[in-house]
Amino acid sequence: MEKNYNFRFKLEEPSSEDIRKRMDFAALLQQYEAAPAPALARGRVRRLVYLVSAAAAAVLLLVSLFFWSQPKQFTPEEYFAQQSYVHPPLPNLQPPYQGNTVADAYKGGIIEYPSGSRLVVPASAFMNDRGKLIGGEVEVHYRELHDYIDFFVSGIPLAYDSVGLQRYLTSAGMVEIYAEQNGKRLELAPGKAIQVELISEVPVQNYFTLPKYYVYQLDTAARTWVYRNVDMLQFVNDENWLGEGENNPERLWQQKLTQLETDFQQALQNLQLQYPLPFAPLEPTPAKGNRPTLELDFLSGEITLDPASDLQPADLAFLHPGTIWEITPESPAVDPRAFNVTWESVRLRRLNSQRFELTLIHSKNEEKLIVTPVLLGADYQRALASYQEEKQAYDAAVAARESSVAASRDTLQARFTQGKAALQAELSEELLGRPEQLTRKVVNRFVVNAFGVWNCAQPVTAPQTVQGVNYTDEKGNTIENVTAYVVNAKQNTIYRYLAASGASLGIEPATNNLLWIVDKDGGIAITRLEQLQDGGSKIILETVTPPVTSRATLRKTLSF
Amino acid sequence: MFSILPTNVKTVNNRFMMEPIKTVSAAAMEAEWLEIQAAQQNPARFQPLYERYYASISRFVFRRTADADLAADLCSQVFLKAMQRLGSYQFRGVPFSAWLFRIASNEVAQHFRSAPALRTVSVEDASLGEMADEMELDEEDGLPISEMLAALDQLRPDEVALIELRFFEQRPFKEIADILDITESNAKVKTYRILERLKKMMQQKTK
Repeated sequence: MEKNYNFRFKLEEPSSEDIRKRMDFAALLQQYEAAPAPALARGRVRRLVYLVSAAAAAVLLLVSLFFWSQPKQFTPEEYFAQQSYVHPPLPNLQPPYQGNTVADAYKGGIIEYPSGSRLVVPASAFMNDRGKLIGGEVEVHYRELHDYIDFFVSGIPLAYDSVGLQRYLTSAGMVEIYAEQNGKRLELAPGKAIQVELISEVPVQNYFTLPKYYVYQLDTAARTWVYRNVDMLQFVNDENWLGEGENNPERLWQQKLTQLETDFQQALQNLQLQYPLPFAPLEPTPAKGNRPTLELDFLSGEITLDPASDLQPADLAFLHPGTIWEITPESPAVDPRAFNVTWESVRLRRLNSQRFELTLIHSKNEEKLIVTPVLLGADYQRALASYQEEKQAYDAAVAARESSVAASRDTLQARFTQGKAALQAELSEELLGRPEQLTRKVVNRFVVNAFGVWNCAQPVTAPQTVQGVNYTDEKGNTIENVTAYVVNAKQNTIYRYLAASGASLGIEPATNNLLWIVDKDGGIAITRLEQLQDGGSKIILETVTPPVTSRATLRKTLSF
Repeated sequence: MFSILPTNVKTVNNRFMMEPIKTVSAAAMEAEWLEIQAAQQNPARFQPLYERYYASISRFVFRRTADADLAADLCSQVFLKAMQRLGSYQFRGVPFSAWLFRIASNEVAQHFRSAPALRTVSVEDASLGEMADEMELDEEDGLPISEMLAALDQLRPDEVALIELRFFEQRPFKEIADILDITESNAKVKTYRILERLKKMMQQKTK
């Protein structure tokens, strides 16, 4: 029978790279511009269409003549939609990546950065674009973005749509990570994630209270930030956070706290010495029966303990009468020849409550065993009865000690807690008097399960906007259809607006705001703002000369 | 001592496990509509859409042609037609990709109407197994692959397309409905009617 279809099993598809090689938008665009439009309907309909088209063309010509000299008016949404989502305005000034190598991708590794940040790469974390796990050397490219200068030059937007509400993300620090092997981009394998420890500095309201940040991933396809997790933040308390100078308040505070802790520990130790713990009786252990044993009676003096032994007969008084030594499963195996040797002495060392290291000593040899004290038959029964009595007495002694010690210990603990709280209050008050924003060094801990941009941030409300803002430069030339970047001294974020006649703009009131634009030649014009009037603010921007050519100059130019 | 694990569990084809079907969020569609509008004003702005969907359209066409060069040609045709018709495209809450897949489906169908070669249908054992489950076939003597293929060969092109989208490409009914421009319930009803027909054809052949 004639077949209608060609059924193919396990058809091998072209690779992503093969497909990418065939992409050619420039050729497609040429073809589009050269190709005629699809055929129109025939007859009367076609004539009607011709008439309408001619009339429309005439109107269009008139309108075009009017609007020819006018720049196209975009809405902000149209303006930003026509750009790529991540849009570096000064590509040459982008923060660089740091490249490090994972020597064996099958094993993973840890990468440490000069900032103190770390990446922990798990084993078998990387796959190629066909989903195959790869091994060998992998280059991991990483960069950190910390402040509004970094956010500006990277072109990463910080607007965040939260359930239909336009907000912005104020950042505790951002990372961008990708990996390559032989110049080809890799992906993280399913189920694999890189642990990130990002060191950054964050503003705090209170010196001792951790702020709350969350982890967001940049989805460039959907053109939005996506919430992923809570940022596991921790203060960094190394020497470097204490600040400069011997009389620095944090340093003095730390010294006082250290002294307080030392005094507290010392007082606890003194209490222990004043009320020593009674000696716990050893619970007798019956011999297993299937393990070799040695009968070595140290208490009677029959066997001499070497003077260098950790334990002497007096230390073994806790052993029950009739104790023999069972060789434990984890002990090195007994050399059978040991039974034919006349050993000269024995060393005994306690490893824990039930394990001892027994060393049989001969001038020419030593045999080390791990043993445990056990009892057989009637000896075990007697020891058990004795143990039960001793245990009761021990428990009573412990309870009596506890009632003597508890009150003193609670007093010491309360004194320590109060002392620590007082020191914290003292430091907090000292620091409140500072004019500058209080900041602390933190480590942000989170995991990334895909390469790209990840942000530790908090959502904040977008500033209220005013309408009808007009922009000019210092010569009075109107500025149209560029991005206006706005930052303020309060929040670590960057706002973007369309700079055009009559556009809307928002700034944070009662604080310093900085606004700048980048023209088509990469030149910067800037102004400082404190307030805006609704329905008619005119913003005059000063062109920065000479043009900015380095990130260092950019930081100086765009500073408050 | 060690134990041997049982091997009678049906597994999903790894290819589909590596290409999870992503549902498109309303926010993403809204954002994409802005891009489409920009492209309607200026064809050069079509590039982000082209780059986003080229690979998936290319694979869609390849699975129906089994010829990389032909797939590339047809893929270019798809995007050319998309650019030519973009002016009339209206956003109706359906992903843009569905519109592109519809154009691609029509281009493939048009090609094979005039070409001497047969339309390729890329099949997986696991997908046939799933179909057999849906049809409640008796698999005591193993999967009746040749009978299933013989029955599939009798289907009309639009029926094969539906089976292909549902079982061989594992697309959800919502996406199939968007691609074929029918309702979701219609897509389900059509699919199961086709399966019923296939089952009848196979049973008649056995008799």
